[in-house]
Amino acid sequence: MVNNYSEKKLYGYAGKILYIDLTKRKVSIKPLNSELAKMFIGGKGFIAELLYDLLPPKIDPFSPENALVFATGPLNGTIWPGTKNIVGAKSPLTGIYMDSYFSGRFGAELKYAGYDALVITGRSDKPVYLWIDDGSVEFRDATHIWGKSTYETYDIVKEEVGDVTAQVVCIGPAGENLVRFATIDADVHRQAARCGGGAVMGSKKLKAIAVRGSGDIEVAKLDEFLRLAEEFTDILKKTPDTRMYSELGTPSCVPFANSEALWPYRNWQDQVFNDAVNEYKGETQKERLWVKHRSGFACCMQCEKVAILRKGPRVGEVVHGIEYETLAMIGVNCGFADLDALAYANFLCDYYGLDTISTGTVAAFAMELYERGILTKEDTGGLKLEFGNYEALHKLIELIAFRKGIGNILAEGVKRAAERIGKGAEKYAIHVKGLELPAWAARGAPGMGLQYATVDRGGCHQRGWPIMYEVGGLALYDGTTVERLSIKGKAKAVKWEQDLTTAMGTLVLCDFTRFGTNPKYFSMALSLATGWNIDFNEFMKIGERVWNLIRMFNVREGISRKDDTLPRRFIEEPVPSGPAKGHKITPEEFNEMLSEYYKLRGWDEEGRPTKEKLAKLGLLL
Amino acid sequence: MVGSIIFHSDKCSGCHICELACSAIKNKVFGLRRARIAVKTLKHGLLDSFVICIQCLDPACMKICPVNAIRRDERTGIILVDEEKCTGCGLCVKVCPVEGIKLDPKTRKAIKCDLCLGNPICVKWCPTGALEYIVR
Repeated sequence: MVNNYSEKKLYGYAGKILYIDLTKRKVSIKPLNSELAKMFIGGKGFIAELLYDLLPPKIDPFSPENALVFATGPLNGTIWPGTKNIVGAKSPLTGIYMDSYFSGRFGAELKYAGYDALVITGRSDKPVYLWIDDGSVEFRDATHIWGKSTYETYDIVKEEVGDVTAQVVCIGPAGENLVRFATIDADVHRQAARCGGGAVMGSKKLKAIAVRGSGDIEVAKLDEFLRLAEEFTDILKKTPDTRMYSELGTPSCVPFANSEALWPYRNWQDQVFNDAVNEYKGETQKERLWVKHRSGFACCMQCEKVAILRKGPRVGEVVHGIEYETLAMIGVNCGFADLDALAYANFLCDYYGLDTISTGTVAAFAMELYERGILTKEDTGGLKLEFGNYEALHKLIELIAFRKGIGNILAEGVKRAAERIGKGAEKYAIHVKGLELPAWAARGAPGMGLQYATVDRGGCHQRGWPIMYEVGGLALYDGTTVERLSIKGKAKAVKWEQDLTTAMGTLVLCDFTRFGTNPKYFSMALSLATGWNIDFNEFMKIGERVWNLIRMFNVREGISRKDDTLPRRFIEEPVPSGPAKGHKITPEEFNEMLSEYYKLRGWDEEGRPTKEKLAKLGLLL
Repeated sequence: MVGSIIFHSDKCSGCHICELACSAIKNKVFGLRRARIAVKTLKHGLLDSFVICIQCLDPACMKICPVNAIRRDERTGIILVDEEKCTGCGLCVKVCPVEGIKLDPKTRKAIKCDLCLGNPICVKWCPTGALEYIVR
């Protein structure tokens, strides 16, 4: 590989990594290693590399040794559409690798301040927040904001640093109370929601991080980069997918999810809830809640919506429009169709700092146990946890955030909660590797099932979404198509999806920017930003490399075939209605898909990457 | 003729593309605080405000500048900074009523919007129509 650019200047990068030890209150800065940058690019790649390197095996995620890593890629801070932010750690919810994306421009500010990544270790002896202002890093006392909501914290920190344009991430009471699915909140309304990053911050007594940078990012070939960004933006603006997100946001998929029986009703006892469609769809939210569109940083899509609570105890509060995942996991899964009650539940989760997917799952789980008599009124402290009882749900959210009563058990996540409760509760716990599943079905989409079983961080839909091939009918990358209920071709689709989304993760790109566009633009943008010649095949190989490194992290933590599973309900109970009525994923089908997947990945029958595979990916040094 | 940039706050999605385009054209880099314009998001996302020089008819910045680095272009009416003359004293920043002029964090010289001399790049890149260029 020949390039004409000096090795000293890493185009597209800030060139440094900032390390903060909260125990010793020590700050150190190291130059970014250019060879590592080429191998792992940034974002998810840096997080995988840093966590694999820094964390001793089998540590307690709440111990000071755990590292919280915010990382950026070469496109963050530039005009390329749809760059997000990513944070990683060892997850307190799953005990394995985690990363979580969030919107806003935290990463851009970090780069303008001079850093490609921020690594936080140790534990402060008292509540603290960080103020990173270019080269200066301050440890500021946070005793006065400990206990406050994300909304209040955001306002206070911005006021104290004295600049509304500084970027702030923070935790709410849920993170402080070590709720294992607590979020890291950004920009009030956006969250790094999944896997409990907020609890890792809480365990470190780190309430917030504010960052501001006055510097800039230089790309290798500016004119060509701008032309490509303009071309890609034009394509994005014209795709039906983008127009749908601009108009109706993620709730635009509500009618599809219900008619194809792909969303969770009553803790996945069914996958259809007709009454909720009109109440929760984008058109209704637009009319009743939304007041403004918002975009992610440098993005033309406007998929985010600003909304106002129109009813209830916090009427007038500015909230975020209710995303598909939230309306499905909390509204549909808990069995109620009431937009105002849902908006208030969404507000409570954001305000206290709880992941709405995990919260919706543990709440629906508790409701099913209550209705089956496994939990009684004594267990719930008098709460009538019946499906559809949203008033009980609102109270339950507070109990979880403050770890009171039954909330203290549910705050552990659905896997641990089921173990604690016993009495056969495990059967109703919907998770993979301890991560509560999001609102896309596996029954009726077996490739989605394989996806859930093999995702690096546990049950997640954001590392590939095979439903677009299985139900959406789109052709795979090689032009082939798949049958919805067949397992044929699904392992191939899953591997491709994971490698692509992981490669995109090294650039910290939003998933939505791949819909209706050509992913070759991503490797072209990477090449023009850095001056390296990285073609699409190499880009996909980088994704595969990072995926394998993360698998090695998880193997080191004890993960193997036994953990690549699905919730029992999806294996044992056929889906009762909808187009895939009667479908379940049999153990035979599942094992066949899984073996095929391991083979395509170059992993052994236990799901461990082979030496040959690792050598091919440059991971055996 | 040179006109002015109108900001439609309700259409602004807070994407900051305008500032990135500005810094790319003026400085060949991407950096929000090196841009000559700024979008500030307020009230928990309910409001985006736009910060830009309003090309005053009788500009305080021009009057206060001790080295006469700020002048009005006779033909267009645009207020321009001569960066060669500017000493970075910051008096213009102090007296500007709208934060329309600032010191570049890198060069420490006064910078401000010059409407790209009639073809503003921020308006060209704005994806939502929040920025509009009107020639009177």
